[in-house]
Amino acid sequence: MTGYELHKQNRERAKDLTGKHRDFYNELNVYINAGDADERAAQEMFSEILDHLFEAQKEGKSPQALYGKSPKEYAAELAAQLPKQTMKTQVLSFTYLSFFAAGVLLAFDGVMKLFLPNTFNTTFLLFVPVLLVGGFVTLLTLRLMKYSAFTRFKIPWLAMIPQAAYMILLIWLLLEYRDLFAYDPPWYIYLVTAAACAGAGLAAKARMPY
Amino acid sequence: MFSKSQLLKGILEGCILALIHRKPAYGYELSVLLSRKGLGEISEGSIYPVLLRLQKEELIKGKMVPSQSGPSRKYYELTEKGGRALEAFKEEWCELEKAVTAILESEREKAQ
Repeated sequence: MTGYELHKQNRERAKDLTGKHRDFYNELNVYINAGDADERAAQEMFSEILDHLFEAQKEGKSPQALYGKSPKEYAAELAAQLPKQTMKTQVLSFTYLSFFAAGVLLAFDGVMKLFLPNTFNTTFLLFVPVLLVGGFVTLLTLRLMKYSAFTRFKIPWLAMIPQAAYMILLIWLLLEYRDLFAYDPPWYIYLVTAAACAGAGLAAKARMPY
Repeated sequence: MFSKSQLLKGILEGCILALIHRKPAYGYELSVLLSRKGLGEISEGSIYPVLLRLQKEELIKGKMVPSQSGPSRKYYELTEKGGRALEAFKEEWCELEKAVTAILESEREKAQ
């Protein structure tokens, strides 16, 4: 069974959790997944935690029997013992995310340019800052998600902060370097570059161990 | 001096090694076995960080085993290194138990 299949199995099973058991499991997922734990090892652990939560649910026991005093401390304890992702995997997932983001942007622009050439004013070179900053924003978002777990902050709100800063940065770049971003090639250049980005992203993903 | 929880952690590790040595087991099964043997006081969830640590130290290894009725489960078995660690734990525990018993008995005699 691969890490991905296990991930899917866990996600399906988790749908049968209810109430506090479900909340605890979801927050634990946010906390662990936003960290740098090895994905495969983390999913194996989640399947054990699920077993335990289901039994607790069946016996009418609170999930507190599982995590003890503090759910966040318990999550931190688990995270500390989980094997870490290798540097290689981290770099690869970073590359994958960056190229994926740039590819989506370019493909969207290309299609818009092809079908609505007069209503949509695109900027081709915007994919360069997206490539450079997109990955960092994702990492920052993940870090914030980790700290928001088990707090009253719900994830989307906190995750909005880096995303909003990112958008502001892109808009500022556009206004400040208008001449530079004025370069506007035909639509197929957009799509070809989008495909190249997607290819680079997929190549990085294929080299990841799961 | 170590705290009570540190002492308990060491004992928990040793007990988990001993249980797995007898028969490969999965996480929840281990937690049930431990509480049935009288170690239910320890917070149930504390076995999962311990299982992760034992794997990291290569004392046990886990294998996902598919089951017909439900989801795949991770069964643990002892490694060679784990076998040696279990022997060492048994020796240490015997010495500790002897020492503590001796002290408690001499205390009781004095009291009488």
